[in-house]
Amino acid sequence: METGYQVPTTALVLIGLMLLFTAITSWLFRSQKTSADYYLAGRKVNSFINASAISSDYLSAASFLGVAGIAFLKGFDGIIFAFGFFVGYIALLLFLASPLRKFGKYTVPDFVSERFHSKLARVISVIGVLFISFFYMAPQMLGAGKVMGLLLNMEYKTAIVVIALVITGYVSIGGMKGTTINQLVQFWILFGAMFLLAFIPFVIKGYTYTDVINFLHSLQAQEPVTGKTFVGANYTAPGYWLTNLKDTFSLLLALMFGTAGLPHILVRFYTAPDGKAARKTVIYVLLLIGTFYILSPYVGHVVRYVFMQADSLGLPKHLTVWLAKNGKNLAVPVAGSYFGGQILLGIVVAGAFAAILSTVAGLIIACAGAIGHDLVVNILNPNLPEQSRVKIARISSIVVGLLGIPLGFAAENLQIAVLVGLAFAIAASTFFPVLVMGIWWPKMTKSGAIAGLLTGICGSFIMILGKSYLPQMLQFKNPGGFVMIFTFLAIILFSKLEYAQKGEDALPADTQKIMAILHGPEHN
Amino acid sequence: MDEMDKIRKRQLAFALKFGIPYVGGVILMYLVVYLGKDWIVNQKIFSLPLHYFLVAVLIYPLTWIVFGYYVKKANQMDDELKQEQGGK
Repeated sequence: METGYQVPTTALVLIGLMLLFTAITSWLFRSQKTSADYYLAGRKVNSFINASAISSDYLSAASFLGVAGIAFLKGFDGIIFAFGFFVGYIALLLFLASPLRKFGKYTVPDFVSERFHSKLARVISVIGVLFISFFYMAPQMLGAGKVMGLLLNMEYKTAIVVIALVITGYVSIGGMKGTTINQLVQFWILFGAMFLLAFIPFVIKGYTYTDVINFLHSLQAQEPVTGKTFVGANYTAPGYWLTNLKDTFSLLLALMFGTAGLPHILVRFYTAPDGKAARKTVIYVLLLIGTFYILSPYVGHVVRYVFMQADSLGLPKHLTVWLAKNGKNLAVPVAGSYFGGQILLGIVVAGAFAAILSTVAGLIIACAGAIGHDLVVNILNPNLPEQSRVKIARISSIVVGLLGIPLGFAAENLQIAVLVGLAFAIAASTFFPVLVMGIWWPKMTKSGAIAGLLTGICGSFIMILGKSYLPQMLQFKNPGGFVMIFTFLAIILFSKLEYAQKGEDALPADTQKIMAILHGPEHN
Repeated sequence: MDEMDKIRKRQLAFALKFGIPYVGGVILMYLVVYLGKDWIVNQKIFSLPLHYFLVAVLIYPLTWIVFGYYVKKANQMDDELKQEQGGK
């Protein structure tokens, strides 16, 4: 532990209250009569609560700490993350939210399998869900171990075990209902923390966005501790980090379409009462996360402003060292400590804790659905009685949650950027095109779906893991958007080939009926 | 079922009417910001550099307004469809 740091009492109090609340709600919602209750909270979640829960699912530790952190580190270019994460919801709103809810099943593999009547497509989709969720969970566990370990004065492995046990406990008992209520509370804790971090410097200290950026733009000085030269004109200009258009657009497209293919986000639209509520939910999400993403890059720039004037603005030595060594992860806690002392730091630590809990909980539910509902029930034992399905759902949640422990241990030595890149690339290039085409193109066939799924998953692995073997022009910051184009082409090509061979028999017999469910009026 | 095809195509056209200009606008904005960076860093709006104003501030309320309207209209379309189908 760095000299000068004390674990804030406020953090312990807030985390204690949050855990108490979590225990109570999980206990209250422990009774789950059907698997729809367990996975989808009985499909009765109101739009505002659902939006808070989705935002909480989405704003992981990477967003809570990382968006301000990357803005602190990379200046204007860092804002692309906030922007890309936000814009991703538009594709979801326009093409997926309402039809998916109208379809009314449980999981993303459910849609693929029932639309094309293919067990193979279900299995490949399950593999996709598991890849995305585990690749996404690894950085969460790493954040839990590294950042929470540091802020709560715990060993890396202890922090991971504690967090995994807490989440596994409340998800397996409370199911989607308990998780939704907990995510609602967790969202407002993390949002409140970010709001205070922006409110204090902006309103009380008078550091306007304009003043901060104009000051940084004109600054050329040595950074504290490292002594590196900081050139403000580069830092505030486009192209400081994203040095070419290809990288900028590949990252932007992967973030935009990856968001619309994340299973733990998609599954939440099944919890809305109907298609109209699903659309309304997205608008609330856009309002909530949009506000968050306006605030967090501002906070990142303010921290840079304070860091560059560490001596004159009285930034304590240990905070200056934190920023110099690990500004990407610690810019937010430093802002908390500097602007609000131990109290605000405590709120920030609780916010980071809430961000980790809510995202991992969402991932566990999505994975449990893929394993429990798609594999065990639909593939292995379709005649399982309802009560046993709930039991399977709980067991799957426990297994997936506990897998977070070895995953967290392994994450310490893995390349996290590669894992997150894979998660977004697979989501953008696999589920987004397959769902969009499955919903909007009646002539898509089973072969088209399978070809699309395989192109997305294999293409992402090849483009990321084999990056160094590819020619320069095919090396991308994130290849999700690039592979997505091939997935669309594969779907069209294989569907047309199958149609040419078999004629109308290539199309599932109930295609028109499914199109009527997806696009016709709902009868509640 | 031909009628369902018409409904689906109408919904798709409506989604694309919002989606294509929006995504096109986002891409165009990034092209302007990155290709015209020498020019844009010196432009200011409300004292804030134009590229910050566009990417870090303006895009959010603009999106809320455009897609708030989209949701209102899309849900209206659903209601009308329900009435039409209910009347048959």
